Amino acid sequence: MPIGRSEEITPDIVVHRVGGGNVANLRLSLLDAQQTPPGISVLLHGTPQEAAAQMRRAFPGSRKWRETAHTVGTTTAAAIREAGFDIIPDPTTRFPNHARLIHPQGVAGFADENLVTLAATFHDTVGC
Amino acid sequence: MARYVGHSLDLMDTAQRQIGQMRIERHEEDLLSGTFMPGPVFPNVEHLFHEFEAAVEAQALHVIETLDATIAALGLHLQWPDAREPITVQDVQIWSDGTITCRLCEQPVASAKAVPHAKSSCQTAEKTNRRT
Repeated sequence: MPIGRSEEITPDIVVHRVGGGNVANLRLSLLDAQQTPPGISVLLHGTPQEAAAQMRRAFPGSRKWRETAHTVGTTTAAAIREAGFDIIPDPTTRFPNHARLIHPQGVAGFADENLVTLAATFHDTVGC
Repeated sequence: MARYVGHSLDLMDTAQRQIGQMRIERHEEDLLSGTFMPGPVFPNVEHLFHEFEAAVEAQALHVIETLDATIAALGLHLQWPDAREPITVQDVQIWSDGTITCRLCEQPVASAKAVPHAKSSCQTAEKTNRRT
């Protein structure tokens, strides 16, 4: 499925990062860094509990995601943009509500000092 | 629901090569879970499942889309030993700890609506069925 445009995600849309909105969980993995544009996966809409449930349903055999109590970081598209990052729709077959959190400077934009600002916009919900 | 539980089924590809065996331990709606025992052909495709697992662990969901399509193209299906009739499945996931899950293609309408799955490999398996 094609990647969408930033304008398609309106400022009030809720954004979830399963695993929490801490700096360590917002860093680019090697796989994320190889994408065009580089970015991390987030899920749009719904509740933190629904985001965690989506991961469990999609990967029922995964040791990491089959656990029942996850932390989920939640923010909004507006807050992400205010922190200097951006978000674009990137729907997949498994996750139609998937989006990619990116930075205008690409990989370099995911430096820790920027991630600290980004992490401050997230509110974590535990036990999802 | 208990039809499959406790049984070991052959996991075959579209060329009717045995990838391994799945010992089924749970059957919930369309989801089968169990233990995977690799067969002689598994090393040919093992890297796909390792890459899939790495992407899942890293939550790199955009990477998984591509791997889903590659794995679906293998046309994996289950088969009772000594039987020619395949059991069409999709979304086969094999994990490094020996866990395997897949979803039956013939499923209740309600559960089919509940979860969007990977690109279906059911059509491929059905083609295999017609060929054999």
